[in-house]
Amino acid sequence: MTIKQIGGIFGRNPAFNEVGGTLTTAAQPNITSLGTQSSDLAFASGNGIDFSATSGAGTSELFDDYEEGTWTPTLNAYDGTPTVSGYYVKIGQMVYIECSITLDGTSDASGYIIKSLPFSVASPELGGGAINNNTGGEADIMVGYDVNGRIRLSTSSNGNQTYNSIGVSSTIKLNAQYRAA
Amino acid sequence: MALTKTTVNDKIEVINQGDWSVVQVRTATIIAEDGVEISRNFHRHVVTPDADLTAEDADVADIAAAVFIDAAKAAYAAAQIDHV
Repeated sequence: MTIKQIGGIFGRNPAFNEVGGTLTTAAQPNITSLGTQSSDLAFASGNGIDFSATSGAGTSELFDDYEEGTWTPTLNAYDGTPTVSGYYVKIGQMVYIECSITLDGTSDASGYIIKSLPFSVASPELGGGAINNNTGGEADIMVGYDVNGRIRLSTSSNGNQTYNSIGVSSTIKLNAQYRAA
Repeated sequence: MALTKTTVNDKIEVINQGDWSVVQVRTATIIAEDGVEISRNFHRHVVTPDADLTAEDADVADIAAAVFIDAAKAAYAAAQIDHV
């Protein structure tokens, strides 16, 4: 692990007075506080904060990723042109997404399936989510992932929800989470 | 003071999904002032074996074309089902 810093924070520790650039864990510094920094900590790819001093073992205790951004949902086999927007936050392996999808009035009996997620979905696809709002009025909507890593809307009895059954001009607002592959 | 905006695919990752792989792309939009970056935002998408690669940037399309061999395309197409 490499900790980047621009001098000064270890001013009272003579071992680090002349560092001014890069510290490595090879020196085993006993860092009790980083204070308030005006720059960021940066880690090389695959590195991060290692919690292995606590119980457990291996890479499952390495916090090595955080990212936020946007994504563009697409609809599987939909004949129309929906209006979409999406946002994501990835914390470690978990991806949290939210999106808004408005259908354009096209009648389509295909299953309501959302593709183009920001990260590929890990198998087994056990994540889920919820519809926060549906202007189409349909209330019996379950949000899950199919075996192809796509979000599938279904009924509580595991039947397909379709673009028609959700509402041909509906707007849904959805949030969901899953593990990234 | 000159503001510039550039976009770059700063991460292009091939993710194995078993019988096929997908290409995971992160596009960074970078705003710079007099050459100094002042903001960077990310947009992500995943390119699957059934994707229209003409809609992708050349760097993504080249990688995807190498990854999406016929067997991968066939396996992906066979797996596209509407039910769990």
